Amino acid sequence: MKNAIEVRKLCKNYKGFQLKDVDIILPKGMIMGFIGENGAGKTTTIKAMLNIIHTDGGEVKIFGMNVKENEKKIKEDIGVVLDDSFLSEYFNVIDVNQFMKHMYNNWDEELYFKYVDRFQLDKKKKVKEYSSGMKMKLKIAVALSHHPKLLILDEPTSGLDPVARNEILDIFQDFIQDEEHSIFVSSHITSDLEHIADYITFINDGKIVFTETRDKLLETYGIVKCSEEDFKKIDKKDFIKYKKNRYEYEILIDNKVEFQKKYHVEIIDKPTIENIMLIYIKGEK
Amino acid sequence: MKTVVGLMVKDFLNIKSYRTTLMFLLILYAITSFANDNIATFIPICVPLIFGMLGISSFSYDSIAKADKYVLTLPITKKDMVRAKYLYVFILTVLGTIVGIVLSIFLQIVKTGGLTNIESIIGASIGALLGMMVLQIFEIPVMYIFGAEKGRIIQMAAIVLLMFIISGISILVMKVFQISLEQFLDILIHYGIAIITAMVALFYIISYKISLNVFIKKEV
Repeated sequence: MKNAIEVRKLCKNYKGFQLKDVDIILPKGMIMGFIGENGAGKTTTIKAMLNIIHTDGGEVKIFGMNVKENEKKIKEDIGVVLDDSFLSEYFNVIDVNQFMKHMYNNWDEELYFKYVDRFQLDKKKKVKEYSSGMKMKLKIAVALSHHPKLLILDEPTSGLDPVARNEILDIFQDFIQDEEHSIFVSSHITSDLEHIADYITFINDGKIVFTETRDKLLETYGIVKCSEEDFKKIDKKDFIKYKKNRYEYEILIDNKVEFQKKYHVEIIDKPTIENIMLIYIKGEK
Repeated sequence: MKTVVGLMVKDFLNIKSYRTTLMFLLILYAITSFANDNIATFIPICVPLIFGMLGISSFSYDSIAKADKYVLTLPITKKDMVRAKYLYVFILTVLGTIVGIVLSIFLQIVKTGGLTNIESIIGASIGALLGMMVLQIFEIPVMYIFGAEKGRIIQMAAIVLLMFIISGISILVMKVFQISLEQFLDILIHYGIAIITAMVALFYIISYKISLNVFIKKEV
């Protein structure tokens, strides 16, 4: 089994929204960041991957097995964090343990309480009394405590302050040290993904725009800023999209070296994932 | 089965915080029935009612936390979830019936120094248990179809509809067999419990099948 996740031609139709021919391949041992604006289809894709919603086409394989045919077996080895849902607002961490030990064959009580202590989660407080950061830490502790091989995380760092975010990212880095482990993580905080992701998959309006390695995105992609006059001299084939600002044009290119050779541009800015996402969404061709 | 038990544990843990309120209600009922001299009927009817309603409230707890979506990320099927919900509601209602019987017997002994009307207590308790189960036959699918929020309002309408249906069936039976209300009640008292129990069990299973069918098709 080479790939942790294989999603092929996944389709889901809602009134007013379509997930169309989504293809995602996450090789084993890698971290994939899943980006896109609100409503682009990130959570729908994750729900379809986990067989929580019915799909209208395509196939999802996890650990090489069809998710519909081997749901229970697959889910024994997955840790999931969903941004907006959990077990109960009235549970404390001890209640969560009581429940979880019935759910997973591999539930590791000792490991769970180790995370609870590490995250300084109050054992007596109910979930509803936790801050959003604390809630997220609890969900992450639960996701990690049955020795999963794959983490599927929907916005795991939302609501966390920079210190807590850093701490969580370190935990993900530790997790991925094992070659058998993989992470699929959707996030709005694209700077987090720049630190940890091996691959970035970008979804927009229900369609996958690209899957690239982080290094390719950050090293070969570039942003050229120029005047309208200079912009008119550039061949459409040589850039992905452009964005017209008040005083200049911002052009997203995917091959810095070639572009520099052809147009002799002095400065090409190194893009952030956020820059790339913004120009893709807001830009024109 | 382990996961089904786990889901029931979740629902029982959810109502843990309700313990004090429940104790307060039981004490209040005990005092009221003690003072009004209706221990044999009031307690055996009210206690299963409260426990049964508490069972249905688990839908609201799940709705607040959006728990269904999260639970489906665990190694569990929708079938396990519906099965666990029915078992939980049923067990809680039976537990309420047992608590009602024990409390009534205790109060009766304290008040009269003996146990003279055990038949009334048991009769009222079984009646209340079956009554609650009849309500749940409608309530649970309503919760799955409409969700906890809308379901709460719709279940009120369902209860009224249910009362009309039961009255309608009773009138129909009396007309077809040309018997009076007294004769009808007499038949019910002598032979009715077995028939009603069998009917309730059958409809409880049908209700489960409907809920399962609805939940499998539902997008959480």
